[in-house]
Amino acid sequence: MLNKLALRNARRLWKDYLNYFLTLCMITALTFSFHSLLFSKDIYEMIHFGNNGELSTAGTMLVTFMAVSTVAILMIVAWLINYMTRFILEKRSREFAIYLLSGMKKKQIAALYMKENFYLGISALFAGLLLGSGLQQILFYVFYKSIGKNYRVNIEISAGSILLTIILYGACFMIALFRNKKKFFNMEIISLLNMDRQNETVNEKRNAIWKWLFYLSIGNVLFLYFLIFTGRITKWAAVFEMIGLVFTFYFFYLGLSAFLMKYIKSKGSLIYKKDCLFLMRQFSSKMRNTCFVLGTLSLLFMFALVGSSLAFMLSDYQNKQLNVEYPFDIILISDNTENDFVKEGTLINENTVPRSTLKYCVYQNGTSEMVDYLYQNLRLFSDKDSDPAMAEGRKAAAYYDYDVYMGITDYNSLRKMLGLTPVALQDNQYLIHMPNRVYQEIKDRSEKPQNSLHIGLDFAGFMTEGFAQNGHNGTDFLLVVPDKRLAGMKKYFSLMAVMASGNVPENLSESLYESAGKIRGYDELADYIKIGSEELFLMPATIQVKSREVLELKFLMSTLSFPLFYIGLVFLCVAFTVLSVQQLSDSNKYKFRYQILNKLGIGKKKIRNVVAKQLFLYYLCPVILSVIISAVFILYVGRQFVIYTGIHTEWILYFGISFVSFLGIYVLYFAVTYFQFNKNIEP
Amino acid sequence: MARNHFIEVKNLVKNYGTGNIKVTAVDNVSFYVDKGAFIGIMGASGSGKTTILNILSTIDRMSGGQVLYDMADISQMTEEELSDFRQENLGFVFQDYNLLDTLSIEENIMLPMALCRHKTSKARLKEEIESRVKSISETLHICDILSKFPYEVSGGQKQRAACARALVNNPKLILADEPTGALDSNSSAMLLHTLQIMNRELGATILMVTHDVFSACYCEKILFLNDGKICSELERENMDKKEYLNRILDMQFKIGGDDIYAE
Repeated sequence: MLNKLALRNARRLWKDYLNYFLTLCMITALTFSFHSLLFSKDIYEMIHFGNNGELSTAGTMLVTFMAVSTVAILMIVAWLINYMTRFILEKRSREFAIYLLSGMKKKQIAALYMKENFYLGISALFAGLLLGSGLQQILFYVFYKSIGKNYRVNIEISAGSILLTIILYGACFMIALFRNKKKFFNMEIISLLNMDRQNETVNEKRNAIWKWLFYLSIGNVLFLYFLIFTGRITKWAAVFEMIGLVFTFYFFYLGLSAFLMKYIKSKGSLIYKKDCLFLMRQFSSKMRNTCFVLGTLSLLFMFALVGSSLAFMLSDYQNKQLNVEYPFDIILISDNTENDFVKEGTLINENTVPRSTLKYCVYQNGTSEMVDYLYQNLRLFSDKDSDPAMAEGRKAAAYYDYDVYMGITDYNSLRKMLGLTPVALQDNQYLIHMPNRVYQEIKDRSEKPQNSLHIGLDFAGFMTEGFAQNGHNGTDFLLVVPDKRLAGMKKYFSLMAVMASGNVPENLSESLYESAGKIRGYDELADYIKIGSEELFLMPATIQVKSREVLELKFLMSTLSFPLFYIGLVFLCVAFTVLSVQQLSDSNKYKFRYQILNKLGIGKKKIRNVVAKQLFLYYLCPVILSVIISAVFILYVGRQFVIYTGIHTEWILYFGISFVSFLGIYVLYFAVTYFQFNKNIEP
Repeated sequence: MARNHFIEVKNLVKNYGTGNIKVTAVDNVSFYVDKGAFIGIMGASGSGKTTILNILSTIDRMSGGQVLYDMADISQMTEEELSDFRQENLGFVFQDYNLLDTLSIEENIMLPMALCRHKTSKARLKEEIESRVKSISETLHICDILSKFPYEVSGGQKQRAACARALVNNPKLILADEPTGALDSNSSAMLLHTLQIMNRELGATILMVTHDVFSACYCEKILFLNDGKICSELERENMDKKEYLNRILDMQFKIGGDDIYAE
């Protein structure tokens, strides 16, 4: 009997809370498909070293980010399920009171409620897994595409992924239901009977104080804008601003509600305008009663927007910057200045067809003026160690001991290989070639690098094209001089650069390392190569095979951007579900209110209009706060991105793309809520 | 020449249900209401009194017949025209007050005015609404509860606030559906007195549906309904209250409302 009742109730739950059910399906599908990445055979091979089962750097990153995002999602899904089960319990309190009056025991009712939710959960789980297997294909396609590989449809349902999804999902449900079970035991029949009849009271107490919270919150947001636009953000300012933002998210709505109530009380002219009074009162009382939920939703929206904007930024970086960082198909460096790369050359010829090859040397003259200049002037090294030994150690870890020189002939040959126009230097001239990122940082400094150098030549200018300057053709800089000038210098390193006419197999990298008696990923960290101020490319590599490095870096970027998208999507769905369910569940109360409006002479069309305005306001409020705050965050991150990468990042574009995608989901949820709401309030 | 009445109800029919299962709630009812009248409709549960009120208040459609307000036929109006008509011509007082719980009493009263289409300037409108709310509140003695919310005042006060709201737009007709149904005897008496003030001092035309004899004796004319038909009418004329009350009771007894004497 109880089972039958539970099934019937679950069916009703499914119908009444369709948005909730669909969101559970969506979250399950997302969890399943994202975790499938970890369990895919191909990806397993990509993230492990050979057969020894150890994770590579990219693998560690992928697993770490997925774990972090899973924990974040677990917390938020647990909150959603807990919120929804409590919410449904309150809405159905009279029904439970009738069960109690009919002689059912609290224990039985709690079990019934648990069963209903279990049925709802299990159906959402199965539907979600089904949807997830489809979504998995799309996700794999996008993932492979983003790392520059082709994906063939392959239905690969991993037991691990299913098990992980069930465990995560089940844990959230169990926690929420056990919490609610406690609630059942503490309830009295009378309180259950009256729970859904409780008037929506308008609490106008302490409005005068709360109103200030609104001004304070606005002030805090303006202060954040001021800090970021004027670049005055320091470590401590950031900490205080973070605390201030949490305060803003949670008190803004309380403040706005008090502000509106004050406005209505002081008879502002807007309240005499058509339905404004009705809407403002609806909105302010709802906001007062749900300020905590609205604050949480704003935070979720913010995380979603920031997360997806960052993900877009990373994927754009991936597309734009990799060619700049890895201009040569293959480049090798050796500290043995007599190395003629015969072994490597043979291996390369066996694996690919070289279009042009150059073996050359870079030189040093025992000075380190440019290294000293960069170490003194670059932002990365600005927080100097007070201990001179430590500072020296740090400098030595970033740069070679001496400035790196190259002759103009080799320089122009390399430029030719890259399709760049050769440059001309007079006998008494030199030029500095540096990554655009470094150039952008130093170009406006009052202390110019050319003034710090005492080479005895005239400075001819800067060149900033991508030139393999993470340790190969110098680190952060290369001093190009006439060939004659090299006569008095010592050979520093010998190098070989190759441009291939066809594809270069990725595993050529491993083969080259092997022939050098090293293991890729292990020994490269301990190598002599120095990567200077580069922070995003963490892998110093004496042997650089572009196809291998690009694949690895694209993979690394994807390990960051995919969890960000994952979090963003789940947070969005959760936030919109809560908004939607709240409005729909209150539609009984609203039905009565709209019927009164109808009796007061507001036609159906106008009522639909008022409903749209009410829903729009309620949906807009948490969105607008999160958009205002996340926009400035993305602006800040975008600027930092320019500083660290040297590429111009259109933060507004990525924010815009995220916002438009966000709007798509917003419109979907809004439309479903709007139609269901209108259906609910129909007489 | 036939006299033009403010409201003319001609051969009104209302059926519920479809196909073979049809229930006639109102069966060929005709009556009229003149301007400034205070008319009551009485009858047992299911006699069709609320259905008539709903049709007159344009929130339900008739199955047959005509309802003319100042010669305008409401059965010919579209949904939106009916809404405008309701807004401009009708005021409502319900048994369960129907006040919005998120609005203060004052805001509840002014809402119908704010919702109307206005051609006046903002400042003028504000002034107009405020003075109208003030004068009605003074007449109905609710000035001291204006800033309160519905859940903070008594049932009687709520109902007087509902009356004020019904009056605020100067409607041509006030429709009251069992207005004393949820009130104690004291509050009922006060409310009926209020309706009387609305009728006599403010010139409101009132049509009240009730099954309470005490409430009905405030009306100057009562229509008795039985099984969807008007079975009798009673006018107070020069009767004193006691005599009028007895006549209403007799009439109820005659038309089968014997349940009130059952015990």
